[in-house]
Amino acid sequence: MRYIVFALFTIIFSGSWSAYAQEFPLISEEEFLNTRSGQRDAWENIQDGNDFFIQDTKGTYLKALDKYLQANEYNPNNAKLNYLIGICYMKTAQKSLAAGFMEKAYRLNPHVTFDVVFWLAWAYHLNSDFDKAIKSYKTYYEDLSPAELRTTGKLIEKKIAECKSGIELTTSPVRVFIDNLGADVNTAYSEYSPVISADEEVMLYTSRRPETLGEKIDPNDLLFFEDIYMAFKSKNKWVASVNMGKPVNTKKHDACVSLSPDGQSLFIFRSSSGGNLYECILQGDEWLDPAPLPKVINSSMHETSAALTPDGKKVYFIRQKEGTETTEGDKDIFVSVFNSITQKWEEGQNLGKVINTPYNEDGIFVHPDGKTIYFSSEGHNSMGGYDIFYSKMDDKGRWSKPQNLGSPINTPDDDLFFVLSSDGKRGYYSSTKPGGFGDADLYQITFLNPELLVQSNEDNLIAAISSPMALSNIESSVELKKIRLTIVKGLVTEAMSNNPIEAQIEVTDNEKNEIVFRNVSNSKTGKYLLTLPSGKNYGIAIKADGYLWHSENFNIPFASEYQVVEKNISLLSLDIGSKIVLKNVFFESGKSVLKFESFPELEQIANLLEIYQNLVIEISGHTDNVGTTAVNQTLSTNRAKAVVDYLVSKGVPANRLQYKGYGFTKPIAGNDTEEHRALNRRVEFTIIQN
Amino acid sequence: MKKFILLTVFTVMLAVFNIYAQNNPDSIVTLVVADNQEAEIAYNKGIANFNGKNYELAISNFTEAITYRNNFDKAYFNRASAKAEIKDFAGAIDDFTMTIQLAPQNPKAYFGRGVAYFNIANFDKALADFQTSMESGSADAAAPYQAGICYFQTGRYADAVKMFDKAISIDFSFAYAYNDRGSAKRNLGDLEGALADYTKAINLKPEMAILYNNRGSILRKMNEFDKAIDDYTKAVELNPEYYMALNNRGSARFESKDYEGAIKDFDACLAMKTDYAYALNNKGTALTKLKKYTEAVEVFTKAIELQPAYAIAYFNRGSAKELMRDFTGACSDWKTALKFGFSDAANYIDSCK
Repeated sequence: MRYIVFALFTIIFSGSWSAYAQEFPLISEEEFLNTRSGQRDAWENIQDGNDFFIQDTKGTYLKALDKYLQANEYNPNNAKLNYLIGICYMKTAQKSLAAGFMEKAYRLNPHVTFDVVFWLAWAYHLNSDFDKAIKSYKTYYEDLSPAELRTTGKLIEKKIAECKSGIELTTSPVRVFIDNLGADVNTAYSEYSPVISADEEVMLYTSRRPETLGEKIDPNDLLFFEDIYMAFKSKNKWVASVNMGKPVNTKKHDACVSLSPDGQSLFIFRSSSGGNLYECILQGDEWLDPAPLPKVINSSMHETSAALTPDGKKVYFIRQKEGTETTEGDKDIFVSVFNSITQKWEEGQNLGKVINTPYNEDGIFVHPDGKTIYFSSEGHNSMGGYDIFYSKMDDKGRWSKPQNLGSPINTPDDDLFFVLSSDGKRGYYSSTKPGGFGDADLYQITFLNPELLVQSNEDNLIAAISSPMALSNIESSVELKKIRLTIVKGLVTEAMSNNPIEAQIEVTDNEKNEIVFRNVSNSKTGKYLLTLPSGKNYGIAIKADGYLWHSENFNIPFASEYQVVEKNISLLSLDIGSKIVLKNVFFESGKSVLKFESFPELEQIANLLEIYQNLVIEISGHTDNVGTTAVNQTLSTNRAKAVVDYLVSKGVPANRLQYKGYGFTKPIAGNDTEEHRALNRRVEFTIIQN
Repeated sequence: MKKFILLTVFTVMLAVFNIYAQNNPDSIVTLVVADNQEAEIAYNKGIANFNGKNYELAISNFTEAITYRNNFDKAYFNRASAKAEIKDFAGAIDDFTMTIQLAPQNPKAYFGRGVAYFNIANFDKALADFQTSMESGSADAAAPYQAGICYFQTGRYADAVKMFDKAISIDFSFAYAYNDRGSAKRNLGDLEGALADYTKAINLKPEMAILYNNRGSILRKMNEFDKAIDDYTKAVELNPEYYMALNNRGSARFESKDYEGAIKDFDACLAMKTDYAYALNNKGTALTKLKKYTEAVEVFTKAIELQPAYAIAYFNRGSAKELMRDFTGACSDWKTALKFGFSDAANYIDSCK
């Protein structure tokens, strides 16, 4: 197998692939031709493609690609052809399509060329498929011989470093909108190197389109010569691109470099004399003939880009290195200072290693602040090809470490010629990213603010606020050491008419058999009110002339709180048949023996019979239904008799007293509860004669 | 003394007897009993009503007690407590002050007044009362705890930590104090300390939902999103109505880049509390991350409708509009955000010039 190895080269858009030479695997008829149909045309396409391919220019790669793709339709499974198609894509704008062909070439024959893995890695790299790229680069690296390592080892190491940068930069993309400037500006040909007026109304840029003055093609790369074009902004859209014409453009290469801050001076590149910078002055509305910049700036080498500081005292420019005398890459950034005394520009000085790298720098732009430069570099932490960086100069003239503008502004391919609008909101640059009109296109970058999406949250930081504690605290109650009282109040009325009665009220401490309180009810209203200290058993008798008295028993325990008891009392007249229950007559349990506490009430009866001498009464005894009839009959009879006996002992004639036991035959309440049974256990007083 | 009292009772009883014996009882409604018992009776009734949560009646009873005995310090104290229960804090402060005048060494009165001052956000006076309560001999952990809250509420977090330390030294099982000390440490930037305190509080009171929520928020700050989500989930399990914890869990999911999950939580929160502007705002941020800018703007707008001065929602809406290339709308919102106090918006307004 024969291989042809050659270096690659372009003028402005050199591309970082210029540093590497690829193999050229010659396809033989035997291995390519299979079926007879179409074999003649297919083989001619191979041969034509080869002719274009070996010319090694961007233009001829495009032509070779066209031929190879036609041949590929005849036989898509030839490893060498797939490799060559992949190389062609890598050398033109549609780099993203290279990976598929390289993968196929490798799959068909992993040894189709010695460097197929390298190109496959690079194709992955350009597609931002960084992990695959690193893996393939490493595979390629590990297979290099010691001699090859010396020549290409560093290149592979840099490629791997670029992939790692790519991973890092794409992980934290910058917030921008990147918009293709559209069909009024971009074409299928290259557009690059935009400059804008301070008011952002006019844009000048370079293009290699057929409308170039003279319509000639550069024989070096078979692309049209560069010319400068002008576009205008209308309703926030760039429109109406026109060739600037003479004297700015010539029939050779004329490329836009920069516009002075006041817009009156346009720096351009011309390929004459090895590639130099020129200045065009705007006089009125006409551009004067370009004049070369002084020799201290334009050297015998290639100067491609320049930018003037806003104060006009410095010009930064790109100069290609001279031979091997400098170690700082092919193209570096230089600065020349205008000497106000001599009124001349001083010799250009290399900006040094902080800015310049062993790789290329290009596309210099000076921020309106005069202290910040934007430039493209293949070095630093580029993710591949040229990336755009910025650096600030401090008060002592020292440059800060260049910062990558980040993804998606920068891509693994070339990103160049960045300029910034005066207000800093938008940038313009040239990129060969996928999705353009073909080759390099101009893009507008709209810088967005840093992402800040603010959440609103709240917590219950203080527990006592979200779940209040029982902080309420009260002093405890006081013990009432004084006598507790029960208030008994009510009305005393005549039973039949309900008329109020002025009655005497006597309260007896039953335990002491002492009257402790006397009162009378109101003659007009019948109202009465008694205050009874707690902790005692009281008998209360209500008496009025001509009426049968009424008795009540109150047992008020010590624990009883202050209370008011309302008790209305109806007094019966001393008519035959009137009957009262003697509520303060008590017997020993189950016996007919009167208890001491009964005597006050029995005294009342004796007094009544003393006052009313005509009264004849019956004392009747009653029991509850506990026990036999006979027992209860006997008990009730004996208890009635005990009362009569007591009254007789108090001087009441026996003939005015009758007694009778009724057992439990005349209950006044049910015998279902103890309370009711207590009511049934009673002694009654009935008038039977008056 | 006892004899004297009995004699007095007897004498008064006789007087009462005479009154009833000689006069018409029509006009007698209240019984005047021995040695002015009405004050104590009314006071005790007040306590019964207080315990029955009948605070208005209790106040009436204590007032009656004070009417009978105007130096009845306990009645003032209890009336103050009853007034505090019905949120009449000014009235409570007056009564606690009266209690203090009558019984200057009563630490409970200072504490009670401190709580009342706290409830009307007069933290300095509250703090002074809590301090006096402690100096007057209170051994209750509540006094230093409340003092700690006062310090917290006034931004004096280091002092708050000291007070919570004191409360905890009195009561080692005081979960509230651990929680609040954790919150003070959080605000001091001591996230590890806060985490430890919240965890201790959880150990002491594992049924308390807010403790998990608070710890979840610390874990979120420590970028321990999965653990934070677990804690918020526990908080919601303990209190299914805990919309705040749902909102916080949504934010934890947002911060762990689970924007769909975050939206589910914010929606669940909003289902519980439809007018919760915070959840709307947060949902908007998740929608923004999902590039659903139109929907995001809609929910930010709803949040703003609920809280017209919601600076953060304005700011976030501005950011969503920026991504929709509505730069004019974005700038307008950022300016409003700044006007309503979101100072970070100033950096964004620079791009509007």
